[in-house]
Amino acid sequence: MTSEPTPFRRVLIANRGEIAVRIIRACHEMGMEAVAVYSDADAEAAHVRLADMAVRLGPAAPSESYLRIDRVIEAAAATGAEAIHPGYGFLAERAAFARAAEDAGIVFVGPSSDAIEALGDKLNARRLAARVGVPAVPGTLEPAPVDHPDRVADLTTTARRIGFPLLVKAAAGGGGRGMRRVEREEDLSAALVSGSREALSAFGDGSVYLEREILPARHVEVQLLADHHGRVVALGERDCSLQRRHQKLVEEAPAPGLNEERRRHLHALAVTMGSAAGLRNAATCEFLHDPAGNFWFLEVNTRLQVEHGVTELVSGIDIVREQFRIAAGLPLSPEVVEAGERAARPASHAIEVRLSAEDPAHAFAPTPGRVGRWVMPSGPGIRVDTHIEAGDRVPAEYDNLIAKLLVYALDRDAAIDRLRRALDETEIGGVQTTLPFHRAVATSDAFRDAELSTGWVEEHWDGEAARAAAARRALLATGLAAIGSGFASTGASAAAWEKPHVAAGPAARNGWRSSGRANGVDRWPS
Amino acid sequence: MAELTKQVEPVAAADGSNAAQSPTIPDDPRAVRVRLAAPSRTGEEPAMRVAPAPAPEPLRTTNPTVGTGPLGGASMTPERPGDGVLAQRQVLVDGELSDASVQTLGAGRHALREGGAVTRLVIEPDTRGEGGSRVREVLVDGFRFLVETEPERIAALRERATKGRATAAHTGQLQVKAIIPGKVVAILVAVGDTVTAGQQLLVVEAMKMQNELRAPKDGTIERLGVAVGVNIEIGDLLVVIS
Repeated sequence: MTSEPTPFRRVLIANRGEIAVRIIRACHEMGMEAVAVYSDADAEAAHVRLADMAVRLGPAAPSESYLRIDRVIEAAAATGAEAIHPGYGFLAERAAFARAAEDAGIVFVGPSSDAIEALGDKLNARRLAARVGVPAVPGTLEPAPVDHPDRVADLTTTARRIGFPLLVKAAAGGGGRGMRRVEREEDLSAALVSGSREALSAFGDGSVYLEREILPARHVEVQLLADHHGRVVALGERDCSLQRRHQKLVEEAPAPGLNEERRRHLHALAVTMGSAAGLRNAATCEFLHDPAGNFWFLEVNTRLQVEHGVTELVSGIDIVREQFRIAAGLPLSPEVVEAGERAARPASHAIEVRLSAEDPAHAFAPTPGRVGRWVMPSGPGIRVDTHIEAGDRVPAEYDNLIAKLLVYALDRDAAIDRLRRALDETEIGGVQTTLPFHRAVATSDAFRDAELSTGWVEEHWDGEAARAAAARRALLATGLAAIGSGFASTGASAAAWEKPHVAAGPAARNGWRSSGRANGVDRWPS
Repeated sequence: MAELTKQVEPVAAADGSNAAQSPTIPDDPRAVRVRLAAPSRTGEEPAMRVAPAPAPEPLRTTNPTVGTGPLGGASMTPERPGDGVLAQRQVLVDGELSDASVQTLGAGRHALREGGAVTRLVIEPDTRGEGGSRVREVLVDGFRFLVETEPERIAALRERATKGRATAAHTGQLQVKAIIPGKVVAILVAVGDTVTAGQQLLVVEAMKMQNELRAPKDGTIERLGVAVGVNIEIGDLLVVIS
């Protein structure tokens, strides 16, 4: 790659967690200074440690820190940042934020505020798709009249036409928030009210609409990059079918089971949407893929995606780096154009699993807390994007993603083998994570056979049974080790157990080894 | 251990101790009682009694196995003589003879061999415990558990002492406790309301998601332990249904 001028001298990253770390890394690789922003809960967080400067936004609550547009713009102005990268989540898809940056003369690394408005509002995007002939999931194109109970009857007629079960979705939505599945007509109005309430609290906009539930379906999305010179390139597609409550758990690139012709068709649909919307920078066009092979347009995300890394691994393109180049007005690099031409004939495979602080045996309930043991895998074909170290806190206020583990190999089978190996090396204590679920995915025949659908988790994961089987071995091993250490048989039972803690140095970390030698091997059986 | 899979409603409070049903536990002073400790303990998961076999048979050597774990296929002989074989040969698990052993691999890592299967797991140094018991964090298959270990003879004594109390506490009340931390954003029932199983009781917001808590059984709301806007922690009493 030829050396070219640094796009910006200093960039503010309006985010936290692994994505802030990811973006800071790109800044430093490109010779740009990174300015972090943080809440009181993140004063010692990794993104603050890594950045060249950091500005406090406010208390832990997102509404008082990471969602404060005025404070973020102030921080950028005060530190002399020339550009703001929003990451994903928080303000990334708020047109008002992009507009505030534009008004302050700061470059927003993403689409224009107008494009965010046009595509970020899902109803707008659905109307746009209808105009340019991209098939969208059947449903309504206008907000449901939640505040007018007298008009809900009309909506029931529409709902009947769409067919049950259907989904109530938030126009401003994402990540399943504000979404409700409605199986029966009589549940519709309650779902509209509760979905609208959640949407209002999550996005400040309670608009909801109806969409047919396509089942079984795979979730397939296309990564787009577009420059300021009218060029839109599809870098390839990802399959993100393994979800729970519309939160993605596993993503891979390319989507298995598509031939070159279907890939070209899919990528063309996405490019059509991007071009029609005047898209610039990075965005993702999401589709549902039904068993008949149809692609149904869902929405466009006008930001960097959590799962952008799998596309980076397969395409060889550093998407965040390209975002900065595009934001500075540079045309798409020749590498991107070439990658776009190769995208329908992918030559390798990448898989990402999202390690989150959630209990997969108890309905994936959040498990914030302090991380204890933290061992991440390494070696060939492994990439770990994380902001966590041993001893770090996972705050309850924010997203519970603590690490993205990515593997890549020449083909999907080899990538799955590598994933299984990587997960065997992974050890996380202190908080329960989704690791057991991912281990099950990596060893699942159904996953290996690419039997993917958005209902996969419900069909293939029995968290309670997996936990019970692990619990039994946890008890047995602990009991055996206790016997071996002479725990119960010594007069003062605690003494033998405690002894290793007195010792200093690395051996003190493992309580049982030395006591095992001292009391177990020599003493039992006696 | 199939009974481990039969958990009670996870939000329901569980009180009293419940030892594993086992016919004969030898009076061996080395025997231990292991059980999940809170908050890993979510229901009526039984404890496990582990004791050395009464008359140990000679060491079974070089039993080549086709294991499923990372050490699969290894011989049953310790790979590194003298290095940390904690317990091996036959043991009694809940009174049943079993071939199981555990070997330390350093830095808290252990290999559990059971039949032909090998499981690699982590047993951390202990964090807390009461009386003669100790609690350790154990990582298996990505799950983390807090495991409490107690000398069997102490557990048996304690059990005898608390047996009467445990039965007295059983009044048909169900205490619904929080299994996630978060903030109560809506309460949809009031004291005295009759509720049916599955009915929505309250909404807890945690990590940006709204979690709807539903009644685990039919009954009457006897008490509300929280109010809208209150931040809750795991184990906090939310609702009492009678």
